[in-house]
Amino acid sequence: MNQQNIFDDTISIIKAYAPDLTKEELTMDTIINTETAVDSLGFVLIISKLEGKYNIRIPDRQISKFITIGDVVKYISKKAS
Amino acid sequence: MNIKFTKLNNMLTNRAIFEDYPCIKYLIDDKLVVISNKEFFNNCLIYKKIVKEMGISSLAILLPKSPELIYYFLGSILAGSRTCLIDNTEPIEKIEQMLRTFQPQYIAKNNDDFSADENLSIENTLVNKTNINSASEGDAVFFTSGTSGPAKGVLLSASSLLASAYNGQEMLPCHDGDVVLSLLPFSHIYGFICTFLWPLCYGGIICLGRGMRSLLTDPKIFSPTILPIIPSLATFLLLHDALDENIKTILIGAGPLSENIIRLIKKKNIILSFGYGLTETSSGVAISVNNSDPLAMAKCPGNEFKIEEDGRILIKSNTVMLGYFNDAKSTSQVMKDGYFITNDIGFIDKNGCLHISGRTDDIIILENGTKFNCAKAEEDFQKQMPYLDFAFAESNGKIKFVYYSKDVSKLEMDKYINAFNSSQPIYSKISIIEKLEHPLYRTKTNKIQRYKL
Repeated sequence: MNQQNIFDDTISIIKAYAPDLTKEELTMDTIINTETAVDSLGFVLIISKLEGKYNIRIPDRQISKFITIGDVVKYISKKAS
Repeated sequence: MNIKFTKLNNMLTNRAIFEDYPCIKYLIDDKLVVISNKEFFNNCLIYKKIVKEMGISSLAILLPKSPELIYYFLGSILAGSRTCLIDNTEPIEKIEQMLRTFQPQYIAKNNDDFSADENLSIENTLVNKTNINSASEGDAVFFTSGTSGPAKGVLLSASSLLASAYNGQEMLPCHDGDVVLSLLPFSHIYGFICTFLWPLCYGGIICLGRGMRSLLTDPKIFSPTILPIIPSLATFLLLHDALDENIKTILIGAGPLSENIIRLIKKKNIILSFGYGLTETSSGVAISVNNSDPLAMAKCPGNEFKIEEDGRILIKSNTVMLGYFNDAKSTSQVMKDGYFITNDIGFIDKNGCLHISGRTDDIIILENGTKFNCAKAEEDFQKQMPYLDFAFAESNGKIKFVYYSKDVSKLEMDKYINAFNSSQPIYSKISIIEKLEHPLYRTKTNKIQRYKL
């Protein structure tokens, strides 16, 4: 599973659960807290969908360390491999 | 008539009379497990014996929400030990700080909850076992949210915890057969009292939620009748259509709720109550019972309020703390003539109900009820950007960063904000950045006029 696929999955899940995004185009550098309309509970929901898709478990303490979408993609890429 | 318990043992014995009635429900691998009152009571006694035999006089519990956590807590108090619940999902630094304050003799935790590089250094310094001589019940230390500075340990007696449950019951009864879903951590006093001790004392069935990932499914699985939650959670559940049709009552604590969400919840014919209280008062001291004005909170029995000239709320209560843990100086600063001095501003209406209108200081309350100290955050941020004109503020329960600069690029600003956010828990990160076209408004003494942000 390459990073592009994980990125695409992440974006589609974010768009499904947070349709009112403040930024139209989401990139690896998009900052989750300030450039999307995803709040902390919504973000956990997105993470849980990604966990299910990639059959991994991300510790709660790790979730609070994610800043950008790229951070999430890279972490999953490392874990899933 | 509600029984006013003063001893945990009496409360548990009373509950165990209905021995086959369910006490706790939880899920293991999606399979529902029910613990009866009899089994629950017996397990509490087993843990009491374990704590006694191990000679544990002070116990810190870092377990995930589970029957084991509850048995440890109640067993330890029954054994006469000093007991502290700590959220095992908090950042390691914060857990270490709480452990350093509490200095437990023993820590109950699952090693699986901590990765190899997350060693708790304090574990190497735990003291040897001592004998527990006390024949009376122990007490508990709950930590304040800690976002307004280091989390303070608050020492509460078992009887004040029980009094808090009784006070709540007098205002908002929990009946036999009521099902209370616990979605909040037990390490926070509101979650402990309202999603655990209150239903335990007065016949409710307690369902243990499985954590943040299951927030949308747990209400449907457990079908609660009473749901004590915080504002951000109420909004989240409502907008995702996750409020089960059996819910009769929603209790909101730890902060305000938007008018729109209040209207939508009431439209579902759900009784909406707000509670006001602090860790220092063992949770709620006032609860609203009038659905037409849920923000007007009537005082619970055993409580007296005074409003100072500056609007500050003072509380005299049978649930006020014994003191900050090992911090007599801080304790003396918040007690005055038997009243606890809060930092909240409010007023009492013509019906004697309390309304909260704000804070006296720079602390803002985020949408999940967490307190965030703007002044402290500004002090920290200033070290990185000493010449920037900026401030922290609140916007719809989120943290807003406001700044004015002619020469700092967005890229550079993002770099510093990302660095700040990476050091913060998930609930206290900057969510909104606003660049002003003019310098911040300040007083003559250079203090930020935060209300203008």
